[in-house]
Amino acid sequence: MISSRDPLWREHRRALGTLALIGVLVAAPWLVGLGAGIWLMAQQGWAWYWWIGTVVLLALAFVLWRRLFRPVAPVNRLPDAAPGASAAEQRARQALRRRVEAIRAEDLRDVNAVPDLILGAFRDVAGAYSPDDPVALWRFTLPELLLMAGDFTQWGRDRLLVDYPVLRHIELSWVVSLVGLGGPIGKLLSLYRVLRWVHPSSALAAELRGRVASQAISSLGDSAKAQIGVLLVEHGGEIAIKLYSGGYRRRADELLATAPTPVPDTAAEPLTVLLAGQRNAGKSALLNALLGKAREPVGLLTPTTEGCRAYEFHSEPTGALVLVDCPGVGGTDGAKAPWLAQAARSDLVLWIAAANRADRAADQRALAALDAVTGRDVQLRRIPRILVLTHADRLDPPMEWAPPYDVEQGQRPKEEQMREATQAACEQLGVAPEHCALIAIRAGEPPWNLEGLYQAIERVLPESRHKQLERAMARDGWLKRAKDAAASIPAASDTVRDFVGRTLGHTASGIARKLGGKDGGKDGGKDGGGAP
Amino acid sequence: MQDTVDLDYARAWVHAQAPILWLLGKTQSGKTSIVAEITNQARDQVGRGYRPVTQESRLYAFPADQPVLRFLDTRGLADSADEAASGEIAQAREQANVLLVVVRVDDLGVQDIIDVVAESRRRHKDLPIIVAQTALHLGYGEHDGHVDPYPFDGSDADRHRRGVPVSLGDTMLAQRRLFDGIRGAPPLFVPLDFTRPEQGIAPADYGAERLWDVLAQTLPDVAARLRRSPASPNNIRTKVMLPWAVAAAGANAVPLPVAGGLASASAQSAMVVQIAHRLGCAGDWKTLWRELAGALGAGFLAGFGGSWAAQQVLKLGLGWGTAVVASWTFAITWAIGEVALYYFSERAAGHPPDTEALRARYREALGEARGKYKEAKLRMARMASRESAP
Repeated sequence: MISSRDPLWREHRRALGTLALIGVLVAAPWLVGLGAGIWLMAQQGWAWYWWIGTVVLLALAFVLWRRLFRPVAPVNRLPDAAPGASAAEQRARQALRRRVEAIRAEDLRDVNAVPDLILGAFRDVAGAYSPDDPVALWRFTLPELLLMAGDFTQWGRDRLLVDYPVLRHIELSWVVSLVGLGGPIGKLLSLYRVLRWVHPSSALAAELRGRVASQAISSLGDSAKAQIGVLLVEHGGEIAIKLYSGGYRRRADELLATAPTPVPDTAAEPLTVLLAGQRNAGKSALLNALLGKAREPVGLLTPTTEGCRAYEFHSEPTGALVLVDCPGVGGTDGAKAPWLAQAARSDLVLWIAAANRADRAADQRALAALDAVTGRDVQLRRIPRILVLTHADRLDPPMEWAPPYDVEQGQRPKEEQMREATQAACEQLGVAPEHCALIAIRAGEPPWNLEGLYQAIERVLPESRHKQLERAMARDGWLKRAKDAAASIPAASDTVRDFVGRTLGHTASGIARKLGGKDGGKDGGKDGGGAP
Repeated sequence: MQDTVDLDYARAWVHAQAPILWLLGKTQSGKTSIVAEITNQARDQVGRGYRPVTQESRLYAFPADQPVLRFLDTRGLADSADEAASGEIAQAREQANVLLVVVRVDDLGVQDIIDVVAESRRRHKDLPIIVAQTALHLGYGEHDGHVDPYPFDGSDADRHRRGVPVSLGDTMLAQRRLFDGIRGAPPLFVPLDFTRPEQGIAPADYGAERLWDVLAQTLPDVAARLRRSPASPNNIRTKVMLPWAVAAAGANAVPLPVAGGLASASAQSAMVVQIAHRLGCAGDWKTLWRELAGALGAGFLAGFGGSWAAQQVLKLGLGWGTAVVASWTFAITWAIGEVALYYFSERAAGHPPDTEALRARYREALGEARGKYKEAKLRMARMASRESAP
């Protein structure tokens, strides 16, 4: 520490001397005035009042000072898992929360404790994503690690520059010199600077400035230490979740030279929405109502399962969607049913069921099968779903159909029936009420309450976007791995050729040196060195 | 199951010689309505269309002291994936004399039921099987109603009956095809629609006669003892008049007394025709209505027309009273029904109808109808809010 400060000190000595002279020049009149004032008061016999007043004010300042640095519990800002998050993510966040709550000032005694804290957070997350896996911590690839490190650094850099633009003009050497000043003044100064820097959001950034932080941490209050520890674990945990859930895997493609443009974090391509339900539930009628007469198959853009057909769809509230229509769910088809295979490739399932039916066993079995699609892997999110209840017009009284109906508030028998039917179906099929939509499609009439369906889709869109990202990030198939392996061959062969060339060159030059004079040896050396 | 049945009842059940009718169907397919219809009992158990009402299989001996027929109502199949009813079904299979399968006509997801039926036939190849295809109104469009007279006979010709919506005929036959693979004699198919009067679908016992005919083929003694005349005044009131009056009030279908007649599509003319037919008086709506109108007298009709016109003016001019008009429509329809019931009963019995008595009947019925309407409205409200505790 001292050895590195001394040259710096020498470097800045002259500038500091001038600065001190300026300070003296500015302060001199005030110091003179102060002395004269005290002398004058002593002459008048008021000196005692001045002394007493000074002592009282200092005592007050001291009390306030203590109050300012009373230990407070660190602020915990770890966000909850978004709705529909995978089981693994939820577990990871719980573990992180427990860790954050347990953090005390002692955990951050010095800068050496920082890696331990972050490592702990990573272990939590890795364990949640790959339970019972001894090498859970290493379940990622090198490009992912590089991206993550870059991300972490950029986070720190951005926070620092956005919060303190003036830092752009301060050379770190100055900071180090000043903070390193010995004695009580230096201590106070460093504390002041650290307090300015260690804004909660940029505590980690300051931490990353290594040397500054290593000196500062020892002089930090307990509250600040604990807060920094919490921030480290929280942000480290967030990044770990992104790492282990494959968040960097997709972006790793950006590193390839062939990638034309960076892949944005929010997907631009339309969501894939599967329409499925029992036979006679009203699926075709709904599809017709959504698409109108002119159905535009998009089978080439969106490869579908055999028997399923994809259509383009666009509406104001939902945006662009690809609707996939799969054959009705029969009673006997098992886990290989086309609709289930297609569901695994969809971001949202519209499950269609008749509102005026009470037999829900087939629907329950089908939705359980849908859960099983993602249930086997804790890393996967549940496929978001909306329960579309058709045939609202056939609820009691059956021959009455006089819209508009107010499902929320209405008191007519039909309206009460609508409420009860929706509630019962949602309960029986385990779908949240806000994800249920009651509709009616009658021949020759405009469909009733498609707006309700659009609203339900709108509510579930964020969850579906997550699912879409997850699908895009899913571990690449064998084809992609083979392709990447093939793409790596040229670089590998270059390296090998280079290595062989160099070795051969050295050998050749060695042989040449042995065989010939000094000139031959030099030439051989040049060849070998020039190969890369 | 046994805990809820008292000991005497159980003993009577075991020792009874009465045949057992096994009801097999999903929840809300209409099993309870069929029991209610056969036994002419209260329909309190007839629940709404979407929540399981029958949670466990029930034994039902009728009449309770000296049973003529015993019902075995297995728990609704396919109500919930968590429940398995296989034990009950094996028991039922051993006991049943007749298997009555109840399926909603629009329901093609009945593989579970077909499996049970096929297995039952494998074990008892002579077990008579009746398939009731219920809730026909689910296949009706906006302007459809029950085709009168009842056109179905269980053959493939049911697909194209006059007046029956094409899609309904197709679904009905498609559902029957699902039963093709069953061993032995093909099941007897009975399309029917037993509704509650408050639902406004008349007649409320559509297909009952055909069901009785089929039961008479399989259980002749039982049918002979339990079958009632569809022409009893109470039956006509609850199965024909009440639903028509409710439907007319709901649709605000006030009869138009134009040129001494009604439009053929009006609720009232259809009701009069159904009443007359039940009482054994033949004829189309024009003859029957003209006959009834003639019996009431021209002056009466003029008064009726004036009252109707006054209601229309009130409704249009003041903008109030849709509820009043509905109540009035209900009362008029009910009163016309009472008059028709009286007139055609007398005629069927060979008595000459008395104009004064008819008019007195009309006025009296108009008074009664207020109470009936309140009752019906109450039932409609209950229909919506009734909690079927599962």
